[in-house]
Amino acid sequence: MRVLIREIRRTAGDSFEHADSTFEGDVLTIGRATDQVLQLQDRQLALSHSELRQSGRHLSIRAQGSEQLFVNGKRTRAARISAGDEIDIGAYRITVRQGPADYDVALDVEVGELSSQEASFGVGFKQSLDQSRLSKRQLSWGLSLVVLAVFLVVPAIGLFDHDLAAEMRRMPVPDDGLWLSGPMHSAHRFMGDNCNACHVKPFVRVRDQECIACHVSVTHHVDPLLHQFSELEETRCATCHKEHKEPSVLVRNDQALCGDCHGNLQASSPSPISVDDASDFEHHHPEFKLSMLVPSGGALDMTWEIERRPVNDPGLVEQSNLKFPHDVHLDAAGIEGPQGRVQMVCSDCHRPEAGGAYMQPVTMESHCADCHLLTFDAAVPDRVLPHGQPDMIVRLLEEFYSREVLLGGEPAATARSVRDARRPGQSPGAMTAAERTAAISRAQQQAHQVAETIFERSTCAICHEVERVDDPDRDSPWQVLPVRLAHVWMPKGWFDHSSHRTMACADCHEAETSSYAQDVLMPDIASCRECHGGGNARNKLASECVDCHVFHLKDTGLMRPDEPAASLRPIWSDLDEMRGDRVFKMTPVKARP
Amino acid sequence: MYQSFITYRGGRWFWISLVLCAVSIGVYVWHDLPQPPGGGTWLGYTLGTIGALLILWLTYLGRRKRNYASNLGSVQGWTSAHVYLGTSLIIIATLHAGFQFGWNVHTLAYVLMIMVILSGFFGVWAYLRYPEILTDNTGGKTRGDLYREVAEIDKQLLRQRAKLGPEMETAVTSAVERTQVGGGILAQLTARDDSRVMLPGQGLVANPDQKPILDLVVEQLSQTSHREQAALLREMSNLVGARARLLQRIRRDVQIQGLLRVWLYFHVPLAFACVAALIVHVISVFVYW
Repeated sequence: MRVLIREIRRTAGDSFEHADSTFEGDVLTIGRATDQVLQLQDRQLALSHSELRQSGRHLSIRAQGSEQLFVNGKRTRAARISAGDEIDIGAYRITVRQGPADYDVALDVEVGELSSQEASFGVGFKQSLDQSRLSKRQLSWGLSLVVLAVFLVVPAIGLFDHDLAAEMRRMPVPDDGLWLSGPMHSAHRFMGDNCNACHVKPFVRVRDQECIACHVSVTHHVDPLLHQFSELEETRCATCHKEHKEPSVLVRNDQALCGDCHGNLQASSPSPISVDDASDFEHHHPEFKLSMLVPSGGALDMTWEIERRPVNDPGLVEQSNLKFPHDVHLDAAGIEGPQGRVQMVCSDCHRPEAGGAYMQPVTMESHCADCHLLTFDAAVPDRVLPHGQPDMIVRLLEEFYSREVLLGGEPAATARSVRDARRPGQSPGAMTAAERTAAISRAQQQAHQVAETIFERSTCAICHEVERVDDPDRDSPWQVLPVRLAHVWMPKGWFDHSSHRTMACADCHEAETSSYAQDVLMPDIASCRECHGGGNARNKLASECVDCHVFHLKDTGLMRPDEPAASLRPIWSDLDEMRGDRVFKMTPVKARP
Repeated sequence: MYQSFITYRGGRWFWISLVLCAVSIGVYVWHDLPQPPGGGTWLGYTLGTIGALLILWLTYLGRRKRNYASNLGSVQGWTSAHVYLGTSLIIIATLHAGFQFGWNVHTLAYVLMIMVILSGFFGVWAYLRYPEILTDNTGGKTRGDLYREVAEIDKQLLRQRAKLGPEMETAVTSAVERTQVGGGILAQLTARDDSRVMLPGQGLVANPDQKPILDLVVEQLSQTSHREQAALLREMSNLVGARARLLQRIRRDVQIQGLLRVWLYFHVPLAFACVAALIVHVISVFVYW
């Protein structure tokens, strides 16, 4: 193949100049490199761009690699060419012409409209962010790997070795503290940052054993032998006790915590239960029930049992065996006392216990004795009888009057008749045996008269129920019925008097109009609802179940014990005992076989 | 008629996202929360699952928009859903967290997600604002068109430079050869002109907006008394001025194109970091369940 190559250049003005060269060979290489037969100086072009060959009588051009060229304006990679064809490569135009006589072909090579430099103007500039060193792909991989490494891989090393984990927590390296979803409750902070104290196995929820390991004495909600609720057995400690929360709260106090079961307990309970349904203090809660002390037996063997009665029960009476009119004592005009009239107030007798939740027991010695003097003889107003020992009273009176008749002295008014039996001028020591017997007999008679008066009509009988018991073995035929006052009326709920100090006693307890000790002065649920609403109350004090009730009840057995206890008592019994009322009969419960 | 991804099909995805947020807020307010709220409640798990699936799906947009053969909705529809559902994540993730935040990987995932969304907001703003500015700037021409115009001027400048004496020839040649467009990220985004020129007696100096070379041409024009020379210089000054204006528009074009894309350099890497943090979040929550 013999080719005439004519390179045409534009010069200043519109004139041209050209340089011819001859190529002889099989392959005419075209490209930017210096070893190419036809070197095209265009920065955009590949070093080796195309090859021109002769095959038979035809010429053909083929682009190298992924290069492309234009033949007669059509983009192509290879083409058969003949005279008259125009080949565009980059900024160059190669026009194929019929060669002179001894040439196979002639190529006119001409820079196109623009010079090579002009054509590529703008190409070399970095004018897209993709050409910058920033790479979205690299940044994405980099950031993601950093996050995975710092927050997952490195802290996870501690999962395989708890000692290493503890060491890592001490060192300034990423540790499992980064996984903390919230601060630990202050009650648990003593554990430090040892996550594995509770989180023993990865991907396993904290088990109750880890809680029970420390909280060994936590009791159950109901005795699992008495009542079997699958809900209770399926409930985890963490169902109600939430750790790592913000704000830090250990105990769930939402109503659903209780209401989920107690809202429909009567219908869903597998065994009969005595608890009424409740799910909201304001809208779904039974009337308060009182633990009423009910006496049984006679004066000598009286015992009390607790009977749960609604506070609005019309037949409700307190059977304390005490006589006490609140209205007389709280009379606004005052009440007659040894030092004249006094105006009494509730707190004269009802004093709060330490802590202020409940009231101290009212006692004769502390609260009544200042006014209620146990005198028995107007002539000796300074002599009083002891309280609480009725058996001793008759003997004490006999001793008192015997001494009066036998020893003499300034006579008491009532005692005078006894002593007057002596002869005038006669000293007691001079009495004959018969006279002494007669005197003592009269003294005994007198003592029994006085005793009958105080037991049946005055002193004792003012406050107490007294029965006459004919028992020859006893010194005294009178029996004062034992008194039991309720200490906690509603032992199944929690009430704190001290948080209600802004209220007056009479706001809840209608004592000023009560004339009888039989009156039950406990408020009903309606009085509480004047201020307290349910957990969702908007215009009242929102009160959740756990504000008054507790979950872990006494003597229901241990929570999640290793072995179920053999026998347990009804759930409320020991709660009452804990709070002071120890007199009730416990119902023994048979253990399951 | 052209429809933006904002108003795609009457804002279909806006309403879907609005309903999603409203339902989430409604359930959050309505349900009796075991105190305090957080990801561990049934609603927390539900919102968390929705949020995580949304994040994965939103991240998939980058893959979907390259998948020209897909028949599963148009890219415009996907973009519309991407924007609105992405925005709704702010509500869903915040409710999922129950407003509990701390120095931990969980809040890291949340913060990364918020940063992705905020950078996305910039992207939305850029896509709404810049295309119009872009068209106004180039007058509907492509950047290649502008370059060809510059090249045309260059051809004339270079053709005539020799007639002005060796100093001017050097100056004009260097101004053409050392014209610079774009450059680093900062140069592109600020449309900084790093062009230089070789001025007689001053050597190689900065040539911002071709002003020094234009000044030189004008100065020469004021000093010449040769009529033909003056005509030539006048034409030169016109050419240099026109060239400077073209170059300004090209740089502005580069700048706007850059602003249209630069947020993606935050959006995309942060999105992947967010997915990584999300994975860590889910794993770590269940490691210490």
